[in-house]
Amino acid sequence: MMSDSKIRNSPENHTAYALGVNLSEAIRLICHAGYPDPRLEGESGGEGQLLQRVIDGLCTLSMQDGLTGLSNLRYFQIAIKQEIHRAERDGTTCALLMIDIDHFKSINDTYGHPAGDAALIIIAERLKMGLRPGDTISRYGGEEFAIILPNCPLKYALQVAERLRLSVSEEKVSVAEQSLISITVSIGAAESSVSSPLDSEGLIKLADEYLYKAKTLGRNRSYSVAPITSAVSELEKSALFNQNNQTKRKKRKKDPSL
Amino acid sequence: MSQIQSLEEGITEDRGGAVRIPKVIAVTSGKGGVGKTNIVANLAVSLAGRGKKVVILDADLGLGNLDVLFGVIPKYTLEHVFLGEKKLTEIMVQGPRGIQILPTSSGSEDMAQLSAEHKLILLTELDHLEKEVDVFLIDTAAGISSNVLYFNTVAQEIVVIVTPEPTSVSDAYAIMKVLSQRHGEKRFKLLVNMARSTREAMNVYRKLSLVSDQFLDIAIDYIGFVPQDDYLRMAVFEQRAVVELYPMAKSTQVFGELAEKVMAWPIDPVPKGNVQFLWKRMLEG
Repeated sequence: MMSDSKIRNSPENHTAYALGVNLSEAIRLICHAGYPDPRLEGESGGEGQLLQRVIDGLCTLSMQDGLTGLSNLRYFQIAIKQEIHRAERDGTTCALLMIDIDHFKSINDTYGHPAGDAALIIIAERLKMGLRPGDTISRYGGEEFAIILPNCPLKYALQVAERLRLSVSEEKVSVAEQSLISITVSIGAAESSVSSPLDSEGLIKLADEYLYKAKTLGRNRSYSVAPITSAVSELEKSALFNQNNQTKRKKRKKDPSL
Repeated sequence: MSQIQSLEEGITEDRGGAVRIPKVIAVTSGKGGVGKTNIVANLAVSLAGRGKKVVILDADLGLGNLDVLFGVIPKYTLEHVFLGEKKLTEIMVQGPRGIQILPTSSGSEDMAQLSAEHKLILLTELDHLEKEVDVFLIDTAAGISSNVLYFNTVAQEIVVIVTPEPTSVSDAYAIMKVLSQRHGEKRFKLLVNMARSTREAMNVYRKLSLVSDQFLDIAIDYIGFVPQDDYLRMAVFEQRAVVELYPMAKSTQVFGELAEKVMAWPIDPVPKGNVQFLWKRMLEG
């Protein structure tokens, strides 16, 4: 049996800690109950490798949306934090798209819930097709999707949003036998950048706000408000905030620990 | 100008029976969430309380919540007028003290690029709009979209709202920069919101003024500051203007002074006749 410390240090287990789940305990229970993945039987590598695969499998399951196969809300919440931190560190911009299917309830009401599910799967697939490797698409809630676009300024994020919106609406969706319907989405886009940094909550809130705005403006559209700090040059910025920098520097000098 | 003087001026204007020339004032901020809409609402009520006929162009629909501040909800927007479903007078919403709110749709229709058909519809509708308006307040949306820039350029005066927060200062600077460099706007009035003291407000003004002197060819007029005021917050919760609800509040006094200042601003010397000029100017560019 693999030692606990070894499991704790596996990359998959970071997510386990983020979830507050004692994964090693869960795996021990599964293994001892005699339910290892039958596909792994007879393969070489011994117990350690087998355990590793079970861990991988469980992690995937815990992070995946059962219906669409996209990552789920839990994964999204971890990923968005990571991507914002990464953007902060690299001095890049992280964009977020919040996407909601228009009039989804009426699809369910008219064609039944299996049709609604079919629609979700197809829309998820169409959205996924339009992304770059490295972008993260998650099912955020019922008929809402969230897409993280690392290293992507808002200007391009809006282009991606428009492309995705069109990719959903340009072809009708077969939700049931002989039921070919038009489905549209509304999209809100926001960014966290060096000049206008946001935490994950702030970014989600802003993108959600713009999504709501896209809805109130009549749906089937993307909406965002460009943060205008990009119009200000570095020189102007340093002139505007020169005073602040000076006071900070002074404080630093006084700090005896430095 | 003293309060009495400007009041008298208002009365002579009213009794004169001459065609009034409205002042058109855009209120903008660059950054959202700096209290712009709240300021528009309270300034409007203050002006109306001084006998002025005020129309607010709500170009910040949905996020601006002018409707929420006044506790009234517009059912229709300019979009319905374009679709031919409503008349302009039907989409106007009544606020307190005779204030009329014209909800425009900021995101969906590009005002700078209206189609000929939509222009015609608007022009026809304008004949039905009441002509006697003293002040048009345009509540622009946040950001720097073509509509925001457009509404700013059709106004005679541009009031920039800024808070001491660095991002707000930076965005206020940015919107002035873009308006001056791309649209030739050279004069701005600065109103500092949420300042803790005169000193803090003046600091913001000084900073913007110094840096713009260095990099831009514009003139910034400091017109005052709205202090942090609990009554202002309470009024928002009540969905009323603080000016109406708490006449003794500090911010009420400030908005009163501001209204006096606005009334004393000289009117654009170009004769414009009536309310329609604003629209005609917008439409004919």
